[in-house]
Order: sequence, then structure tokens, then C-alpha cells
Amino acid sequence: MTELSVTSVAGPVVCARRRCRWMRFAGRGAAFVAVSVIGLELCLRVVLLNRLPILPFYIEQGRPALPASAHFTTWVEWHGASEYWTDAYGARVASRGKQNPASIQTGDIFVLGDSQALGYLMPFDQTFGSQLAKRVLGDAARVRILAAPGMDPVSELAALRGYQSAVNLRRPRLAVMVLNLGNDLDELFFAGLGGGERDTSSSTRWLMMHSRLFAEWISIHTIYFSRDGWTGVNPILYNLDAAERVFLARQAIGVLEQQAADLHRAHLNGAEHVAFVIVPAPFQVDSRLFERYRKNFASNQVFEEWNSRIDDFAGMMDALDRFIARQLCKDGFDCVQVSELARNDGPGAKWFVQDTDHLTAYGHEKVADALARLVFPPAAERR
Amino acid sequence: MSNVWLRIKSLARRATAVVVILIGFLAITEFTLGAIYHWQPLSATYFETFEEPPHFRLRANVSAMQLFEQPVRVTTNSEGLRIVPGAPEGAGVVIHVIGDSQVFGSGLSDDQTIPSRLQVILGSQFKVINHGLPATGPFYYAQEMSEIDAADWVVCIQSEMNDMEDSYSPLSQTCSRCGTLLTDSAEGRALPCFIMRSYSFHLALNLWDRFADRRQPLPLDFNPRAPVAATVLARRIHDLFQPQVQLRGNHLIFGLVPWDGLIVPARRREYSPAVDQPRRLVEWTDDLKIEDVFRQDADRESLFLKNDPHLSARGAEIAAAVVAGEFLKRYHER
Repeated sequence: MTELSVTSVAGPVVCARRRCRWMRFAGRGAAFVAVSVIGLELCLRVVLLNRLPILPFYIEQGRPALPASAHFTTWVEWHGASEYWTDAYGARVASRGKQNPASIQTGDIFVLGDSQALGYLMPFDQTFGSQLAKRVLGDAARVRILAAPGMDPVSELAALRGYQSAVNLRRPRLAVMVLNLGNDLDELFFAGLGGGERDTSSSTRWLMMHSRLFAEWISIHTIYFSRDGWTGVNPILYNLDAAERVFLARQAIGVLEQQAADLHRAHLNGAEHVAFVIVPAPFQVDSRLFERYRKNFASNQVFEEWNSRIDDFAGMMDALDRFIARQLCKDGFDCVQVSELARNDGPGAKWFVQDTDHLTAYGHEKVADALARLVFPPAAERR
Repeated sequence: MSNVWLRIKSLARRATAVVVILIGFLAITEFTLGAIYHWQPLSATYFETFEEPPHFRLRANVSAMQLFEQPVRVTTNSEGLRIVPGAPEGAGVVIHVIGDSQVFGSGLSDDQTIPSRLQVILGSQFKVINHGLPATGPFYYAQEMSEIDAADWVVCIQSEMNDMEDSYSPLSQTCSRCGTLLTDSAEGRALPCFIMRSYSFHLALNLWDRFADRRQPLPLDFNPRAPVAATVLARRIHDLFQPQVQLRGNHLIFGLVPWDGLIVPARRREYSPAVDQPRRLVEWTDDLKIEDVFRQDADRESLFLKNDPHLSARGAEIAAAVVAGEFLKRYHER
């Protein structure tokens, strides 16, 4: 009788002890993970001085956008620290004082495009928009850049329409639209594949802005682990034949001219001047830039096969580049062809950042020069 | 030391117990699901790899059952085409019906497909052949047409759901494995056949689809974010078919099975990106206008399978009647 009662009492006690042991074990594990995460987060904040190692952007209503009404600083090796301020609709502006759309003045400059227009991971005052504003208006801050990485002309048009319906642009002196031949035509062609990109979840948005660990993970993943099939050569060159590429280019021109028409609309205080900047694929101006894609190929041999054809690919892109520029010119638009500028500049000039295929500060400066000359020529030249 | 050894032994015993319990649980689940589904296979068993694009085809002389809403029988002939019951051998006029799974009749029995119903409507004076092959698109249609006698009639029924996306590349993203079709990926190729055929695996996939909110991509011609892509691909499809249009003239009829979300608005929520008022961005070559007939139908939901964009037996019957009407009109106009 005594034994039974001991067993019946001891049973639950043993079970409870076991449960306790497991719970203790799980608790210790969770605490270890939490302490590690917090520790890493703190270390990264100290190392990065609270700056972000990536440029945070979201997919919102199906199109890429910078976080609205935000202030953050990015840091990368090749540009150092870059401060970002965005207005209530996600356009990049010079400073806190420019975040309110009411600060827009008549005759400002407006830039529309993707990461090339934005000045990817680049300080605001080095972007061609800001440099142009400084030259033409005498104030580097009188420019608003509606741009985000991953935008293509269709999403830019949608973003522009949304922006115009929310913000009075007060008749900009110049609106500049950027066509990035590095990927814009490809993005237009592959836009519907798989239904397109889904909107970024709110938790991912929060993590991107507030966790340096998450941002660092994205950065490392992009640099070292992502073999997303991007060969560095525009996929339209091997997925479309020549006639289809020209047809695609015509469609792109149609969208760009719709952007221009929207920006000209008088009732929306449209721009005085509209100009286009066509940024080439990097291998169009320097075939050595293709080298950075070696890691994306299955073997060195495959890479070398592609590399041996890089001049042909550059020729194909040049043909599209010229076609689009001529067509825009014929339709009465001012157009800066960056590939021409780079070629005239001679070898040795560094137009593209090796690691990201984006224009360097030097490239931006030259684009600003060209735009200033083209749209606001000196009085003597005008005569 | 002996303490450590005892600990290891205890852990191994526990791990073995967990594995045995898991296997037992899976076996019971598998047995229960098998009994619920009457041991009918849930995935296809009638595809095989082939060296020419699209690199898979139907196995010849197969008679297999597959469970959709109900068990369906899939039978193929010696040429690896799905049979059309009652198609006469010696008929003077041959009609080849080309398309993807909508023509093949995914989810339908041999006697319920569009070509089969067309055969019933037209009678023994004509012979209808089913060239439908799931997971194909305009590149395959054009290739099939080029191999058909120029004197024969061809009905090419395109699928709005995915044909435009399928025309991105002549290289298929689908492969055949263990008799079924799956997206060509390292994971898919590594999966053992017994897992792929198991009921538990299908249940897990269904649950994953349900909870992961895996909506289907909106057909490209309705995707407001891809107007340029739709325009370029529509032109590509048009150009692909041009040689056959010139060769066959009146003997080539194009049709389009409309996107189910266009006919049944409630189904639009299963697609991403969401669109409230779908607007077709490009026009298809469509001599049949099946869409117009579907729109006038009193019971639109029943035109498609449940939770599946493929035509139901009723939808296929109506589509076949439309094809027959257009064919007979052209046939008598000769």
C-alpha cells in the first residue's frame, strides 16, 4: 500500500521533473539565440555606426519605392556614407527641410527613374540631379528624385501619376527621365513573369529599416550567395530576335513619351522642359566591367565563352541605344546619350562603379554637365 | 565515461522511438488518405521524357486513372496522343485539335474532352485527333502544326491562362519525372518517386499552398504591370503562327479558352496581382469567341473545374459546340 502510494505520487513528480528539464533546456536555447541576436545587432550597430549596409526599398502596389518620410544613412566601401531623406511619397530630397512637398518651389528640377537616377548608395549632392540644380538654379537642394532600384518605365509612369496626383510640382524648370539600358528593357519584357513581384510584408519592411543584422544578411546574401541567373548581359539579347528587340524598344519609347506627356500637362503645373538621359549597359562602354559576373557562371569556361562575345552584345545594345535616342530626338525631345559621352571621354575614365554597375560620381557630374549644356545652353551658344 | 555512454544510449533510444512514431504516423495517414481516395493516383502517371522540345510527351498505349474532382481515365494511342473515343479510322476529313491541358482535357475523362465532344457533334464523316499536351504553349502548337498534312484541318485552341507566359521561351520550364510533370528544379529532380506519389505528400503540398497564400500569376494579358511584355509576346505569338496561317488559310481555326477569372469574377482573388476590373491589354487571334458564349451562360461557375482553371466537362462540351459551329460553317463555305 505504501509502495503504491509512493509510486503514484512519484510518477507525476518524475514527469514534472522531466518536463522541467526540457523546459529549462528550451529556455536556455531560446535565451542563447536571443542574446546572440541582440549581441550581433549591437556589434553591427557599433561597427556600422548605426548606418545601413543596404539601400532599403519595398515593393508597394506592385512597384518598387523608397520608404516614405524616412531618414537613414547607408554606408558602402566605394561611396562611404550617404544620407537619404525622402518626402511623404518616397521621393529623395536633399534634407529634412525638403521633406514637406509644400517646400517645392516653382522652377525646381524633377528627376524620374530607377537606381541610376536615384544615385544608388551615393550622397545626394553627387547625383546628377543635384549637380544640375546647383549649376542651373544655384541651389543643389532644389531637386526631387522620384526613383527606386528596380523601377522600369511602366512602374515609373505609375509612380509619376501617383506622385502628381498627390503633389503640386509647381511647374519644374526641367524634368529629367532616365532610361537605364542596363536593365530597363529587360524589366519591361519580363515584368509579368510569375505574375510580378508581391508587395513587401510589413514585417520585412520593419526589419529592413530597424535591424542591422537583417540588412547585413541581405547584403551578404546578395553579394556572396545570390546566383540569380543574371549573367551581366541583358537577357533581351538572347531571348528576343533583332526585330523583337526593336519592337520592344518602340514600346519603351511609347511609355517614355507618355511620361513626358504627363509631365508636360499644364493643369498639373507641368515642366517647362523635358529631357531624357539614356544610361548604357556598362559593358557597352567598358567590356572589362563584365569580369565581375564571372562568379555567376557555372564555370570559367562558360564565362569565357560569353566573354568572347561581349563586343557583339555591346554592338546589339549600342544599336538599341542609338535607335531610342534618334527616335526621341525625332519626336522633339532633348536626349543625353551617356554611351556617347563616355566614348568621347576616352579610355581610363571611370564611369561605372565596378561592384554595382551604377554610374560613379564622375559619371553623374558629366551627365549634369551634358544636361546643362543641352537644355540651358549659354546665351552665346543659343544665339 | 559510463555516464556519458548511458546518456548516448538513452538519446539513441529516444531518437529511435521518435522515428518509429513518425513512420507509424505517416503510414496511418497514408493508409487513411488512400482509403479516402479509393487508392486512385493523385498525380499523372502517363508522361515520359523525350529528346525533342518540349522534352516530354505522353507515353504511348497507356490507360491510367487519376483522381481530380472524380476519378478520370486517361488513355493514349500508339502515337502517344490522347484517344478520341469513336473517331473513325477511314474518315475523309481529318481535324487536328492542338492545344495544352485545356485541349488534352486535364481533369476530364477520355470521352469528356473538347476533341471527344467535337467528334460526337460532327459524327463519323470526320475524324478528330487530340494533340493536346499539358504544360506547352505556342512554340509547341506551331511545331505540331508544321508536322500536320497541309490538306487537313487544324483547330488551335490557346489557353489565356498561361499561353502568353509560355511563349517567353521555347525552352520548357517543365520536365517529366516518375510519369508526372513538374517544374524543372534540382529539388524536383531529387525527389524519389514513392514520395511524389504518396497521398501524404500531396496533402502537405495542398496545405502549404493554402497557408502560404500561393496565388497563381495573373494572365499576362491582364497584368497592368506588364503591358509592354504582353504587347511584345502577342506579336511573337502572331509571328509564330504566320507561316501556318499563310499555308492553311481557311483550314486553320484559332480559338481561345478565356481566363476563368474573366468569366467567374469570384475566382479573381486566387490571382496575383489583384485586379477588380480586368482589362485585356492585347487581342488574341480568336475565330471562335468561346468567351462570348461563356459570358452568356447562366451557370458560369460550372464551366470550370472546382479550384482549378481547367474546363469542366460542361465547359468542354460548350467549347466543342462552338468549334463545331465554326468548322461546319467554313467546311460548307469551301
